[in-house]
Amino acid sequence: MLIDARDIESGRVLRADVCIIGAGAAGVTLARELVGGSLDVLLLESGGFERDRGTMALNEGRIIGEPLDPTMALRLEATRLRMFGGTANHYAGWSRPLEALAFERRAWVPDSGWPLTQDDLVPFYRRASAALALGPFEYGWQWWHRERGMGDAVLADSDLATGMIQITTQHPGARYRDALVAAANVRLCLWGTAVELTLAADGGHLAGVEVATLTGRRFRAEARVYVLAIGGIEVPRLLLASSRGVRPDGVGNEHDLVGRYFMEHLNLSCGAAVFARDKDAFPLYQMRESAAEDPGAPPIKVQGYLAPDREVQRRAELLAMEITIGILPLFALDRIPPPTERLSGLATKDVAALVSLRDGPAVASAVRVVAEQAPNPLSRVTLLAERDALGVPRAALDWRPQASDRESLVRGLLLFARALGRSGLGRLQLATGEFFGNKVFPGASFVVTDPLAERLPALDFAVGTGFHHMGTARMHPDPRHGVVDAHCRVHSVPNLYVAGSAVFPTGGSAGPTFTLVALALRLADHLRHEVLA
Amino acid sequence: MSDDPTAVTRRAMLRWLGGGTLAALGVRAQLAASAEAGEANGDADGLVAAALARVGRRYLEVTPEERDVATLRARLGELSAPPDVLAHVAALEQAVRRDFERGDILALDGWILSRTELRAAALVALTSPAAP
Repeated sequence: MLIDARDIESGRVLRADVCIIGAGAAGVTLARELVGGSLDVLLLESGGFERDRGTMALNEGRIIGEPLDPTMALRLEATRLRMFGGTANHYAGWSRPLEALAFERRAWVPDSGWPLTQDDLVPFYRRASAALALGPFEYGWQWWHRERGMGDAVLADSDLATGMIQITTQHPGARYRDALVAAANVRLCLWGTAVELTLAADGGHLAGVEVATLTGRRFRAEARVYVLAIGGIEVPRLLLASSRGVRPDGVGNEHDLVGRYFMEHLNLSCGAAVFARDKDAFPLYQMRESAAEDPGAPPIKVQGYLAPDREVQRRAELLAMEITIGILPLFALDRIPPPTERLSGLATKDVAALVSLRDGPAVASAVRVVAEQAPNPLSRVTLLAERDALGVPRAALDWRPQASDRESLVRGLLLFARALGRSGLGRLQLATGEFFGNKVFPGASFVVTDPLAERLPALDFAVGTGFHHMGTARMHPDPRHGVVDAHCRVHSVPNLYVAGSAVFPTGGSAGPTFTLVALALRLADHLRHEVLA
Repeated sequence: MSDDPTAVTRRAMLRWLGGGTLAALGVRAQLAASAEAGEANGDADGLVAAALARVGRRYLEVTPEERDVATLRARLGELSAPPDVLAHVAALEQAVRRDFERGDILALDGWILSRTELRAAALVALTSPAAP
């Protein structure tokens, strides 16, 4: 059932068994799971089905730490979408499970470790595959090679392993909209913004949610269970801004953890490569169409990626990363020079001569990397004094990736460069030479030719991000170290849950949507069978 | 281009070797000239040689202490003067792979390259008529 918050009289109370705040990928998935059951579900969404300027302005805030993307001068509000489907409307569809190692406590990554393993999530990843209309739940290259003729992996005897990414054109919002609107036990309430979570007087549970519209209506929602599914910036914003009279530091923030550990993915077009192969030599690494598992779903795309092998990550103490390549024939460089070419005294074609001494073919490639940011308690979301049109304090984002994050990224790329050279497969250019030196790779000697070499010690080269906001209500079994427990329940508020990437203790290098959808499915089971049965 | 699949390989290697070996084979002037002139006339061998020379010159800009043929020959050792030019390609490739294995690599304008291949390219640059 669809309702419009602007039509609800001020002062009214909407009651439900479950109140889900936020109709993004997590909220919609959760609501869809509850369709047809005995639970009365209220799904609150701040926006509508289409983007609205006034509603989007509620996202405005301030970036006070490292810029999210200096080349784009990205503003905080541009990284999120406040509408049905949520920020997943930006979702490029890239899906793979979070790396198994990223779930583990890694001695070289402070504050790492989930209270779950990848195996624990596999049944939910399988269901998430169906939810996102992906292909078979297969992420090893061998299956795609054997069953779909995708070609062979390269560098098989190196420090790098090949994995697969599936790319869907579907996201839960578009996929489930009609089912939610038609559902008898779900009320989808558009244009109503949760402006405060109200704790009971003793602070022991959540008593309700204050909802406001930009047209001036204010009403209340009350439920047995509440699920906050509004993303890695809005989750801490609302928790910190709520019930200050009962909990002066905000809801769920007894240990000063809400908003801390904000993580993004370091996203970098990091350079070029030349390969001593022809352009058809890497079918596994080129984006190719393939059938979805559901015969009625549109085809997906599949692409291989390279990453330091799991044991190499342990040995070299690396964070997770994903390296993708996009092959161009060399002649295309005349029309599409690599972005690094203008910075470089050494042209890609000239380097190609080094790898084609036997007069074999050579191709060039852009190289892109997505790398993990280690948890950092100083990287955080806080509140500003300034308030939005509905009276909620705006968010400030102090994003602080650490030098060790960049160092790990660089060391991983150097593993790739060395594997290419050692195998005779090619050569790698790292986007700008300025940040390389013995500091990041003590096993090699370097000639650093870039005039910006003085920036080396700080490793402060610019990185982009992926609109992946993670970690601000992190999951940990101990309330001193996490905001939510392994069931995504806020430790100090037993009827309040958080869904979405805000609960990720670490982010690996996989896009978060697949994992947050899997977690939402797991939460649906938990609510249905254990909490509200 | 020759139909012989090894022909350019051989010629490229001759350029890499430069100096005495080229002179001994009596093709020095011809091959050295092609490193620069080849680019203009579209000759594939010349393009390769010119490309190698540019890489070599760039290396010498940042490693001026190696800017002479004798030094480069000394540092390349056997690679600069074995009897069989085809054996050179395999040996050079092996040496380059060893460089990557043990980390004797350089970041030159961001390109992660083997020191051996850069020295060999520098030798091409110095034995070309347009060499600095």
